[in-house]
Amino acid sequence: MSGMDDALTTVTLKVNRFTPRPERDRGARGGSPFAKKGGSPFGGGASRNRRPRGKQWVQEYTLQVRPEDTVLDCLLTIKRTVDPTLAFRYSCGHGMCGSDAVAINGTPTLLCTATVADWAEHPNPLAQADEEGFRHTGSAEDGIADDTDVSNAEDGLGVIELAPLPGFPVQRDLIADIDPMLDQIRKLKPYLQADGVLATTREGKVDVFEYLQNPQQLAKYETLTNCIACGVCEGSCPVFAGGDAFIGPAALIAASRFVNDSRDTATMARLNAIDTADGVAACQSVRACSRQCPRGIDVGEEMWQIVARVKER
Amino acid sequence: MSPKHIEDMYDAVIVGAGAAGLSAALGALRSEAAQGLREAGVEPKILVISKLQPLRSHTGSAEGGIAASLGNAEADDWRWHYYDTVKGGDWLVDQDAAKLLAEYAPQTVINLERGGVAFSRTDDGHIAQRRFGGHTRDFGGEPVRRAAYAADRVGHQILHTLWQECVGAGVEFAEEWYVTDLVLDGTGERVAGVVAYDTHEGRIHAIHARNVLLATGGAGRLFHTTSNSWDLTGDGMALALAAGLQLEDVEFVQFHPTGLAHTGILLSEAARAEGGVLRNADGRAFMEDYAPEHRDLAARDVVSRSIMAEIDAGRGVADPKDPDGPRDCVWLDMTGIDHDHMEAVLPQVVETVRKYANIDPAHDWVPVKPTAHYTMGGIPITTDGEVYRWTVSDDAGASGGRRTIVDGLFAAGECSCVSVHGANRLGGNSLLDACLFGTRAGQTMAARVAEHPVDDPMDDGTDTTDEEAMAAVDVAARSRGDELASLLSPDDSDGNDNPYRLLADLGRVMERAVAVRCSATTISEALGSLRGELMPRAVSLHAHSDTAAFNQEITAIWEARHLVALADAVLRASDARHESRGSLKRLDFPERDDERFLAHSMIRSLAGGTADAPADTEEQGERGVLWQPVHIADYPPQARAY
Repeated sequence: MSGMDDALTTVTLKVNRFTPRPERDRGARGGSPFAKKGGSPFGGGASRNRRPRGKQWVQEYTLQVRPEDTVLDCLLTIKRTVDPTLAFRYSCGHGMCGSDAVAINGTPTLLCTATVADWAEHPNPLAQADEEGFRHTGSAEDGIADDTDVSNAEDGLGVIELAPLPGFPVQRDLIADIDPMLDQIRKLKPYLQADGVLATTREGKVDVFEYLQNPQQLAKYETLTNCIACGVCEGSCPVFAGGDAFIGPAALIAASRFVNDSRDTATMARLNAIDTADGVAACQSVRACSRQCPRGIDVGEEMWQIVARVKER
Repeated sequence: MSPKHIEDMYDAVIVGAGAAGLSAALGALRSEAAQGLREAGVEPKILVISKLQPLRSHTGSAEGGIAASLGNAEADDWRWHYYDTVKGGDWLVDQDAAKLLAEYAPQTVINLERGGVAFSRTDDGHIAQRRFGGHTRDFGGEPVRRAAYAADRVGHQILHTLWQECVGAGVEFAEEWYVTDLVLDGTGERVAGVVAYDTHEGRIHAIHARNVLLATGGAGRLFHTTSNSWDLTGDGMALALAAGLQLEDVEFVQFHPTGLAHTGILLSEAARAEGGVLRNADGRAFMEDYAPEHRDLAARDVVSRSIMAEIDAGRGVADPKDPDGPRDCVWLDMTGIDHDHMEAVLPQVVETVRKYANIDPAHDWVPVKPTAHYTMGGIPITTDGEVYRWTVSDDAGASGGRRTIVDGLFAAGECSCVSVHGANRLGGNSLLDACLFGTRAGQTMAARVAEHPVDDPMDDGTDTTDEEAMAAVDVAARSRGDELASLLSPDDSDGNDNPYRLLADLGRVMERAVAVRCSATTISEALGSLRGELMPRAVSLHAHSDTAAFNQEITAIWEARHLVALADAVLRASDARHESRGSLKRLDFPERDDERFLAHSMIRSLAGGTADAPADTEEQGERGVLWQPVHIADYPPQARAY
């Protein structure tokens, strides 16, 4: 059987870590209570662009793995055997719950669907500085990452770099605050607004209790219902993650799901609600949002379609 | 999302935000009682506390369907569904509850559709339905298409729709808060509230509430191999045990036969329906030795037991990812299925195998083993969702027991046991149970809220009944706060252990002892490891970071303690039942014994947490187990054969 005797090899995870400073310390730093809370008036408001306060460092862990192991497997092994303090969200472990979106080698995707074989890279020695020109190396207190790890990695599968999902404030290690996304989804009334009428026979008797919807009508929005609100599309979007005022692809997908549902009666109100400067107008059709969607939604194409619907009305 | 401020007193707190918890919230808010309150100008104060953001709940992983005799695909009758449920549960089903389940299933599914669930459709626009194991026509006849489905992700659809409806209804959530204590008043007869840990701030809160509803889901993480998410740590059940309440029928855990080795991720029954064959280490298609007629498509518990029998006979294969480990898998051979057909009808199975086993099911045999899937037992509830105690008076004997309701305490979904699933759950009945009995519990709770709302305009401030209960919650919160501080304080021991390691070890102990089959010997070995090693380790766990915010290890420590306490109850309940029924196979008691065990086990925690030398009393039952007769209404027990 192929795949049955994959030898163990090694991979090095470079994890961008962050520990928030306890609140009393933050308070001691002061800051005027009257200061204008900056950032975008949309989305997360002040919190979105706020620089997190706390300790930041990069920690390296070198593990024995099989190429088909997922990055989530690796992190769980670290928690169990090396470092129980490493923080990251996870739950179902097979791509349905949407909780474990992070940036892997800078690309937003889910920890549980990313395999080591697909993501491990041999580092380019010239590209080890971050965007500010500094190279953070592990002030790893526990002595977990020592210099020999890097050279070992060259014999193994290489390096995978992990960071929290871009576009959202980091809370701790790989945990980001995705409430701004959920707030934006909630703002667009993401629930069915139907007419409430029961189908009746010609004599006026109740005939059918469910709303009727044929397979063709279902097909118009079914893919959109598969969204798991993981935030990968948002983290991939240069407009959203770049910090500009944009309600974001996830919220527009949620709105589009109801616009295209034959049972929903609030279409006009929904189209009006997204016809704003931070709504469809902010989408630059970059289509980066489509690339990593774990549910296979062509987010960019759906954006295009909903923009067209808004313009047509 | 956290509440903007915490009320001094809530009308109701719901713990858990999967199908059951969200249904309960909607059931309460849409009830006549709540409507009446609003007309009187009173807005009920309800808070949903959930350790996950609601959309992450494990309901979202349910794939196949939700059962209801809608009759959209062919003629069906709710009485047939009722019968199938009783039979599937090996007659350990309370028939009054199963009758409600079947009778109100169509209404439940239609309400979900009208709430927005994107069900698959028939050509004429009705909700589409498919066949599911154990669902038949004419009381055990031919298979019937009863499971309403939404492609292969009905759970995702239901979860997201219920959350959306809650957004519309303005439900308030405390997300990523972990409930550490269920607090009853001093008498233990009335609920007082909960203690909750806000994982964002790393802070303990006392939450006072006149009503509490537990909807925390199952406990698949008792086992190493499980289809359950990492969060199914039996929290609600453990909270009930710790509060001195009982659990019902916790010895019954359903194992799905084909979990992908190493991961436990479910490979749908459809893989075998389309021609997949189970093979042992010798390559033999062994199911024909156990179920000559139905072979690989026999009932879930039958197939799981057959796989374990092969493994126990030394004909298993090792998990290829752990080649030196135990030979505790068998092969699922799908190579005989036409390749194009397989891609077309089993896309999810093929994708899972490729992604997580790195092999191609078209060419390679797939290593599988039974995976812990569903806990049939749980917190005992009435058909209205009220949690009760079962007591037997000294002189009355087993038939003279009675249920005493704990005022204001409710439960729903997998953490509860209204006993519609008995000893083995039918596919399609779990989402139904969660939505239907969740709604009912919410409605009952709202009626109780309406009797005595927190914002009662008639309240003259002389009512002091809350004070004692509030004090009880405050005491529990203070003691939990002290514990938190000590878990976070620098540790002087070498501290090599951690909760993640402990959970892995617990899972292996439980799997070896009671997965699919057990005996007095395996149970006693597991109890030995549990009490001799795992419990002491759980007590001495300590966090490795002193920063409270988003300190996942703190939650994991409490989860590990919950699971260890629950494991003790599961093992003792398994030990007490000297028969084989449904999902429970006792190798030393291979037959069903209706004479002695047509009864629900009602197990409590052994006092003081020192389980080594339990003091048995008549009143508390031997080893903390009492027996409650099954409610038989329409279908007397028969042999269970398919």
